[in-house]
Amino acid sequence: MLLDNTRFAYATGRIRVIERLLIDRSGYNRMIDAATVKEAAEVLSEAGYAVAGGTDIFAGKDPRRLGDSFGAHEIESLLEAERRKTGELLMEVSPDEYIANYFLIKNDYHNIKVILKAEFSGAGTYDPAWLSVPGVYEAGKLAGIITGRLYGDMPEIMRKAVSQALDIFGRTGDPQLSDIVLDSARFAQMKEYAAASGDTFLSGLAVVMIDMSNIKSALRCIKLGKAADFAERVLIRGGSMDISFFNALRDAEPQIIAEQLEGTRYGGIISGGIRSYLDEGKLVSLEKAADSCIIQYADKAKYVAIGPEPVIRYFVVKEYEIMNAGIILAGKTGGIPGNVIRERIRDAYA
Amino acid sequence: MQDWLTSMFNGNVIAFTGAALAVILAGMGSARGVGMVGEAAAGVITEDPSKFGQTILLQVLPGTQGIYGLLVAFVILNRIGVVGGEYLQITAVQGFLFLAAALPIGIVGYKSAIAQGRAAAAGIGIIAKRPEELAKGITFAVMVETYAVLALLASIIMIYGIRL
Amino acid sequence: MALIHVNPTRMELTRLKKRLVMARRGHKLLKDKRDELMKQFLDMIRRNRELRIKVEKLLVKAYGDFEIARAVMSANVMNESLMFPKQKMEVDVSTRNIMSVNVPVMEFNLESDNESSIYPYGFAETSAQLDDSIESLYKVLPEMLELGVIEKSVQLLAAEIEKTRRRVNALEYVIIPQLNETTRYITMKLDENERGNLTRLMKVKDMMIEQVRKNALNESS
Repeated sequence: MLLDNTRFAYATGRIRVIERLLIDRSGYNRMIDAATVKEAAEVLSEAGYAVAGGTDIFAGKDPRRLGDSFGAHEIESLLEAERRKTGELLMEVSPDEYIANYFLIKNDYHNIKVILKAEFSGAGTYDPAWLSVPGVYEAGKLAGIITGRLYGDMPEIMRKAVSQALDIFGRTGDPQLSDIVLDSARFAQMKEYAAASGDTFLSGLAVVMIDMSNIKSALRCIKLGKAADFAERVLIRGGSMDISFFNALRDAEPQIIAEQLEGTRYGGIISGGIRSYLDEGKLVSLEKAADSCIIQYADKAKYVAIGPEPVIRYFVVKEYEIMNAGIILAGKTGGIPGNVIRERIRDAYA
Repeated sequence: MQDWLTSMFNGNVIAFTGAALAVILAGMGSARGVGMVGEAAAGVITEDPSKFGQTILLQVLPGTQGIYGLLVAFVILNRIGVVGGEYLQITAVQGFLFLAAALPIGIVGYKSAIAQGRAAAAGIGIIAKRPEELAKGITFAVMVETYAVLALLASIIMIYGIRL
Repeated sequence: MALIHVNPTRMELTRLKKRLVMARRGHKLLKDKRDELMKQFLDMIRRNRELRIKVEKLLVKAYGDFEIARAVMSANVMNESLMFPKQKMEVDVSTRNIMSVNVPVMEFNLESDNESSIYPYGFAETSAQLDDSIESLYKVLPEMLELGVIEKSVQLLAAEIEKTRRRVNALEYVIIPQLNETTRYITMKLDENERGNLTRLMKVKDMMIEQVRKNALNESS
């Protein structure tokens, strides 16, 4: 253990410095209370956004006309650039491949979905900007592997998932089912990376992430009136709650559903979200609560001086920071009142 | 065989082993500690080169155990006359006593250097976030030093307590 | 009122009178058509208004949910999620005749009626708000198509009403008065001629009487 942790000394040191740039509650408040979108985006500039590759999105733009020129497209490319930068940092600081892969494999499965859907649609083409980089595998290589069906270099889980996705789409013509296959495989592979890293904190994070995905998916299936066999497919194996637990919820009374979910170890955090779902039929606050569970799990690493935990925590928090930036900027452009935005953003870094 | 065993349990061989252990264990610990802090410091410097002066202060802290180990080895060698004075032939019992005396600084030095390295690496975290709190970070790391010093003290007292 | 330039002849008069009768009949028919069109138009406008309010409400909801979903999902994931549609829909376009106006009629049928199978994406990466948004859009689609049909029909009807009204007005305020005026003018002109003729005849008669009297005097002397 002792020996293992010291490998993260460099990563921890670097993370400690850039951690200071993470936006905290007061930063978000400044963004939300800003008079213009540009002012809000300036908080992001201070947090190091939009400096990847030396491109400054504000270059040559008149701040007074920013309402026009700083639209949804600019916001999206700004956030995408930040995601990319974060992914590259992750690869740089991670002393072994597993932790970086754990976070990046999401992008690969996203890319696989894009490539497959392009193939399904018959056109076979897609906008390269839709691919998420960096992934564990280079996106172009991935496309070659899939279109050529040359799965040689793929890990077992991914290979199985791709051929299964192709097969199920071939039989049903339903892109949702192929997505679901890939989603399950993504989590399975994350678990595998976590196990391979030998880090219990990362394995624990994988379990929390799977649990959260399952709670959200289970309620979504109930809400949309999906059949039992569909729900079975959507639920991800390997979480702390058994699939049968969710199956039992299917036909339960709302009150029972709430009590059951509140009885889990996440009960305290997700309780409000579940109640709001039962009262209003909206999953907005539950989704936020689910993200809170993940953030709070990561925050357990707050006082760990050195080791993989602070690194993992940084990347979890950073992901939600980018999400929050998106929520706030979109809210500001759409003229949504500050208190509504404040309700929607995820827990701030502290 | 008998010859070989006798020569093995020659007092001087055992005393040399003790001196060697003091240097090896304490040195290994220090190297690990200093290395760990160095890595953490390198991480900080990558992002913020202006912190070099502060981080170097923390990095040297786990290095003291290695020096203590060397000191103990020197004292042992001095007692048996390898360094200065007359080279003494000592008995096996005396040799074992020297070996025992070397153990505190060897073992405690090894462990405490790593522990101090961790504390200092955590101190690097303090520097990264709040450079003005450098003194506190150093204080935490220095606390570990106490036990290395105590072990050094014990080793030295023991070495001088051996009658030749 | 301007007159039509015609020869004030009896034949012309009969022709004009025929035209006038025709114009009156046309005027009455067009007026009826206009009234009927107006009735249809008002019904449609009422339906249009209802639909528009409903559609707009649903669309606002759909976009509201979409906006939340878009804020919490990355642009790439959003693009990928909606890249390949799951439902297929066919639209048949034909026309229907309302008061000789051809209005479009659309019939559409979905490939699958299963409402829970309209979501073309997996659940792990997407927000439930996207479901709500897609559902609203799915529900609003038939009404949006109907709204399109009605709005186009209303436009066509409005144009037709405008045209008919212009015709009615033209008949009522231009053609009929003109014809009236012209027939009156021809009648007057003919009467005038008649009177001229009469006078001339009387004069000739007088002259002939004078002549006869003169001849008789000459003979007697």
